Amino acid sequence: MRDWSSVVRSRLIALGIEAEREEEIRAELSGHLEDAYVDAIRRGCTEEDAVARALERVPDWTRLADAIRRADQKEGPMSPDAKTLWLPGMAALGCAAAVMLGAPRLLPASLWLDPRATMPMTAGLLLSYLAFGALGASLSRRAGGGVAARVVAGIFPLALHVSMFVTVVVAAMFGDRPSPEALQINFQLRLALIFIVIPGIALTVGTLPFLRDNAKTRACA
Amino acid sequence: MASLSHSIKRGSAELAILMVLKDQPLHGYEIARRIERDTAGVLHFTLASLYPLLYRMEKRDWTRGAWETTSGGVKRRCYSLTAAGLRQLAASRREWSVFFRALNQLGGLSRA
Repeated sequence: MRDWSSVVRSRLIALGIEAEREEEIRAELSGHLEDAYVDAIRRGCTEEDAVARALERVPDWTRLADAIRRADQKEGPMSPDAKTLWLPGMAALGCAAAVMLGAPRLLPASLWLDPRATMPMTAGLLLSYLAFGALGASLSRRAGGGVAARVVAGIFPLALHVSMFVTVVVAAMFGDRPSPEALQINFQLRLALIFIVIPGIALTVGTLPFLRDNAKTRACA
Repeated sequence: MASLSHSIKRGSAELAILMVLKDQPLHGYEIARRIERDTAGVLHFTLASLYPLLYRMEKRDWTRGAWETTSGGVKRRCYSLTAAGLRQLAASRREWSVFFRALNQLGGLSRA
């Protein structure tokens, strides 16, 4: 009986992966060649033919090593969580941050002071948040994310809002000039409503059309 | 039987592996042998085409590999389908069936 372990050891170049895993792979490949050899003998092949038939399974040992190394080391540049949650979430958050930072710079200062502009600006902001929620959820769905991942990716910009809320409240309470109003629960609730609840609702509503699987997602799930 | 182009073979190999693992856990050689036998040799695996695919599928949690002693008394790494693998099998079947239906509608595979 041929020693297939030594055949694999001598022909397969180092895979450059964890030693224990490499040993396991070599043992598995040896087993495959041995099975092919035994099968060929059982079918009436000569020893020489059986060896040749087994080795036919590996036309190129270098290609085999490369393919195994690639398959074993990484599935892709990103983990499934990165593709379905973090990347879509960060895209939505980036858009929200761009709007929050860009709007005060791009819109004229007089507009912010004009009471007639409050409603259209609020509506515009809420619409943009619907779009950001939709963006996060749709990117997550495209990447094969489940419903939970889509919702979280869609409402990801809330992380920015929560951090701003905490910063504003903490600064107002414990800053150089603490505001007595900041200590009142009503103030904090109002702030939470404006900073977290309303944007959160807009983002969540934006995700809704993308929580159902479309035909493509179902087929690729 | 006409040979299939490389890309079609590669695309269908995953489905073929999922299908043969549906009924029982199998080790690498047995997976390749059954697919070759059941497809009359149209789908043929080298080690370079089989094992990278098996390792990827295991990483995706579609299959689980475990060392077992076969009826012949030798240790082999056997692969079985996970729940995620079963879901993937159902999804892949639907996808391929949509694909072939679309080709049929386009020109009629039976006339090709």
